[in-house]
Amino acid sequence: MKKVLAIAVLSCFVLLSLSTRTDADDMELLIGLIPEQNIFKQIERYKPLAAYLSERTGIRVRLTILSRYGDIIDRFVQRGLDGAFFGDLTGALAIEKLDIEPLVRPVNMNGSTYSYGYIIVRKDSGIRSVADMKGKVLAFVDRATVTGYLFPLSYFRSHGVANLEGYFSEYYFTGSHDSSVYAVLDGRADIGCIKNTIFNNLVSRDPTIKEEIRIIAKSPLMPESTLCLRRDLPEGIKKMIKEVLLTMDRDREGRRILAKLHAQRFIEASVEDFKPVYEMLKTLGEDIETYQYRVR
Amino acid sequence: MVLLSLLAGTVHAATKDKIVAGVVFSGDLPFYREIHEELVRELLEKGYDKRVRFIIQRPNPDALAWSNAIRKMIAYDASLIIVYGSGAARAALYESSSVPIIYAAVYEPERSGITGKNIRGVGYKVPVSSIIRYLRKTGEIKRIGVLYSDSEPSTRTQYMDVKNVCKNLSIDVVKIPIKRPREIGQRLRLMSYDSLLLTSSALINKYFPDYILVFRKKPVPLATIIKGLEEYSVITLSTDPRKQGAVLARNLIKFINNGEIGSIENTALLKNSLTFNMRLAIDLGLDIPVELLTESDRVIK
Amino acid sequence: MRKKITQYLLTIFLLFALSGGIAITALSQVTKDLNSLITLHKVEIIRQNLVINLQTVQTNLYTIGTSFGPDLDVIVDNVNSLDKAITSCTGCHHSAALTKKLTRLKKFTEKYKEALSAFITTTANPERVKRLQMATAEIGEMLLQSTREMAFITNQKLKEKSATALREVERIKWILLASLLGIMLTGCIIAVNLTSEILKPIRELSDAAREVASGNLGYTIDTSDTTEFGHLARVFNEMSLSLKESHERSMKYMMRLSGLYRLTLSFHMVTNEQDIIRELVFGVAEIIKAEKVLVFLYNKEKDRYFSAFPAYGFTDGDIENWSYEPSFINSIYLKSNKRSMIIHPEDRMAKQLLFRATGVRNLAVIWLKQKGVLTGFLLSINKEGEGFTEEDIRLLSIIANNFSVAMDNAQLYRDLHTQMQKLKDTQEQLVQAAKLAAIGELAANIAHEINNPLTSVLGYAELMREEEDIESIMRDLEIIESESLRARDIVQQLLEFSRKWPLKIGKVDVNRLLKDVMDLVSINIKNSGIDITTDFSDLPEINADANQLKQVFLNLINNAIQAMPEGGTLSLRTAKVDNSVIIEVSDTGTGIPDNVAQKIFEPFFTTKRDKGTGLGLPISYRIIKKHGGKIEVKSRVERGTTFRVILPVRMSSLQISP
Repeated sequence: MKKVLAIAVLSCFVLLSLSTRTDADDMELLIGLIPEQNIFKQIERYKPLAAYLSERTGIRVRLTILSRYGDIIDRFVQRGLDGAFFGDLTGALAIEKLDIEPLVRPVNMNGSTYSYGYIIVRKDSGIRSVADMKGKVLAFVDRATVTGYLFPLSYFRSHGVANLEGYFSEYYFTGSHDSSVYAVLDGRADIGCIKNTIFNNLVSRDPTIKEEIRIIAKSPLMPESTLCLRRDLPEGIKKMIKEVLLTMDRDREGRRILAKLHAQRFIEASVEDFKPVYEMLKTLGEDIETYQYRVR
Repeated sequence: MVLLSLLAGTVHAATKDKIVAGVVFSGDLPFYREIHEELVRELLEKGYDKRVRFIIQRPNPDALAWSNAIRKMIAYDASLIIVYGSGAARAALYESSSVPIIYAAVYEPERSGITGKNIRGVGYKVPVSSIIRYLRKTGEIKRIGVLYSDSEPSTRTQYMDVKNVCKNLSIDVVKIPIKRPREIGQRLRLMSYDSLLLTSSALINKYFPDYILVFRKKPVPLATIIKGLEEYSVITLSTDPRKQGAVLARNLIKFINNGEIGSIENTALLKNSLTFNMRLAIDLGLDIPVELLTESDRVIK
Repeated sequence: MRKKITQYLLTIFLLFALSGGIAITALSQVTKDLNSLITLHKVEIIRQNLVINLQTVQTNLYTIGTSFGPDLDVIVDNVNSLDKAITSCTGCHHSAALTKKLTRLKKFTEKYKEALSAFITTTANPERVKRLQMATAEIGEMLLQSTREMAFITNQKLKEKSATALREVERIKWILLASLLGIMLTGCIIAVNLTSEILKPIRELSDAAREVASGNLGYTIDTSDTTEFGHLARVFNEMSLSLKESHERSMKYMMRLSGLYRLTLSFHMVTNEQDIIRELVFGVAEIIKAEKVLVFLYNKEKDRYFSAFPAYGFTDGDIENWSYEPSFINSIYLKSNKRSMIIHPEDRMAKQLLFRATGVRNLAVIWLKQKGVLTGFLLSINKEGEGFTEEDIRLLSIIANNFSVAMDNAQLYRDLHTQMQKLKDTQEQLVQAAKLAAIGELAANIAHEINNPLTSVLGYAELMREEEDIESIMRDLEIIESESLRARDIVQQLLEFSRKWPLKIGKVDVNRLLKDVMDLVSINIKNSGIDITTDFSDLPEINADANQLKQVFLNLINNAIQAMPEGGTLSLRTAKVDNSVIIEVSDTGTGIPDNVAQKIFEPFFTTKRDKGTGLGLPISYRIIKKHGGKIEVKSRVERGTTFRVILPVRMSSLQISP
């Protein structure tokens, strides 16, 4: 009896070790993900996509999380990435600073292919316009986002606020979009900014939030989660990947994976998509080459 | 502008006589002490410390004691009365003397009836909805008990705010009015609730620790609106007493300079700070919402 | 025989198949156990990995001066596989302690993931990053702690499962052994069966002989066998049958006697005449084996003999209105020398007697007498076989005597029953009186009634001390006053109830007294929609306490008014019966349900929740009792209630004081 047990346990070990063996010699692509609120859930969402790509193209696709928004450009080079899903500003910066090209971007479940930013206040704060914001506390998200920093900055500037320090009694960076909303809700800040998708997500979980918040302004449309690949990858590989992604909504398995990413399908992306970002940087008088996105 | 008037103040400072300001606390709370310390510090910094003499009263938190303290101030011929908290503020208002009143740390003064020709000051607002939102993230909440005091009108306003927020959330609000300290223990024992909110009442905040053993027999998540009880409270969302003190100092300087109570504008501070007692939450077996970890200005471990 | 052998072989085969099945099921069970063991080991390995991963992540967290590099992917993988391990665990363990631990672990993992994510993704605000780092580390520590605790439980489980698996293997060994033994045993049984198949006819014959010897006469062997065995069996059967016949004849006499005994017994077990008659006719029909049996009884009032129900062999319609003149029956009675007899169906007498019956073959007439007087007769018609014998007549005469006695008894029993009912009614009145004497219970009620207002008074008095404004004090005082008044009312009523009223006896005109009472209440009735009717008879003056009687009638009339909130009719009636005066107070009100009617004279029972004290009727009851009278209540729900007071004109000098 003990022998049987031993054999069973042993065979189980063998099976386990077999399944973890890697095929090192095959072609492999390393794709980066910009971290979202919960990176663990994020990687679980993206893993089926990687598997799907591997299966359809025969190229092993591996995912890696890129820590902290701002480090992305450096990390891309350091880690030898082949591509990444970029956000609005990170995408624009990457296109400018790295030799990459946009490949595809998703269409959201509601059919939109863009996101945009809000500037928000508490409804009972009495703030209705920029004029009412004098001497108040402002909470940005992060310097490396359009919706959480560049847009509000350009909005205040176009409404005559030349110098943040002189106009607001205090401003700070919350570090995440939803934090900005909570700061406003709790009265830890008077004015906040947030990306519409994250705001909608919060509201769907807690509808009372919407009743307490007033939206003061809405930003222009910004591209979202664009997959960019290194320009020097073999043309055939890029084409194959693009083909698979653009047509994956035609089979059931593909649609299931897309649904996990909250997307209907992928559409072709281009540098043009990032035009609103460049424009915004321009109105702020920032040079894309030298823009300091790191807070600190 | 502000700078200019401050400069003008310092010029006058040395020349004018001292004024007598009666200070009445709604109760002997660290929260009010902190406001007063900040007031004194600011006056010193701006060079006005020699212009004011303070007579301080920290009466027991009840209506009779507040009235007595106010009357003493009037009898002493104080130039103005400074009150902390809505209990003392209402008592001062009820005396309806001609002595001007400046208040600080009154929650929603207008809605709580702390208004008048002769009274100005700095209030605050804490969004009760946020407290409820965080409480709900720590676990399911069906009956929230709200401890308030009828003789402190702001605390009643807070109760009304809780009721209003909970109306749409299918949370029952259990009204727990407190008149005397020992009622805190009695009510905590008798009422049924699954969470508690302490309003800013001086009476309740001062005496709650005396009944902590009663509370620990039926431990539930507790939230507070003013600082001071973080040890017992899972969530504290409070206005900053230092900022209250700073605005109060500004108002007082204005009064010293022109003797006109009407020249002071009523203001309300909306900025709050959030404290999360994670250790207590774990002891109570509550859910630890990551929002409280990320949003809190202070996490107690 | 060959067929039988094939069947036996098939049975053995099936048994083999069955035991094979058992073995396979048992083996698969063992395999399952082993599988779960393997899973457990796997989980333990995952757990160990998890601890290592967690420690790595924690170290990373603490030393994070720089930032997460490629380690981040490893951390994510580790934490995700930790999550999976825990999820897979929740699926297989069932011990409550472990499940709780796992749920806790899962919860903490979720928190850890969230906190870690927040820490990693927060880009600005160094102060907050630091705070998140600390909080995350804290949760990580707790997670490690829980994981270590779990290791202990897992090991325990592992040991347990191994032991279970070993036990299972042992068990299967036994099952296999048992099924082998089972097959051997079945083989033996089959061999034994085959042998007995051959020996069967011989054993059957010897068994049958033994059967007859033991008294089962007429026992035959069922056989169609043509062998010697068959012949022997047939001879045996003939012998057995002839033995049976002679035995049966002697049994017949026994049967009659026992029938008679049975019938007599049943006569005395029923008490109702009709049942006795049924027992008679059916018993006679059974014992004598007659087709029809019919009884005629003399009806004193109508002076005729009428057929009695039921009859055997007749329908009820057949015998309805079948009667004879007494003179006719008497003539037959005398002609028969007052003795029961057999009559030939062609006889003139028989034809007269049986003018309603047809197809009569034979007939017996049995006279029924009580104390020597003819009370009826029994006709027994068409006995099975040769007809009636003298022996039958003797038997029937005995039965007839028994019948008469039973009828006599039934009459006596009925009279006794009536007497008993009367006695019971009287007892009920007595019980009522005894109840009222049960002061013990009363005391408890009193205490309770008075305690309520007192508690309120005390409570409000205490409250007053703490009140600050005069308004609240006045309000409290008001409540204290009203509660005290309530208490005083109860006490006063009680005094009234418990007082040993000395009766002030004088001459009382009851009609006059009722009119006085009506004057008192007439104000209350005005505009209430109640009509009053009075029906007063001339009454003698009675000896009574006028004031106390007034109280009784006031009480009864008030109750009547309160029972008619929608209006109705209040009737007062007086009458003199024998040596008593009767006063009735009726209403057309709501009435009293039966269950309530039994209690209305008990102290503190009230249906008027807020108004009544529950003492009105008990007091009335006592007053009337003292007067040597009675008070009765008759009520129908939704029809109304009548209280009837019966007072003696002259009070007996012996009054038991309650």
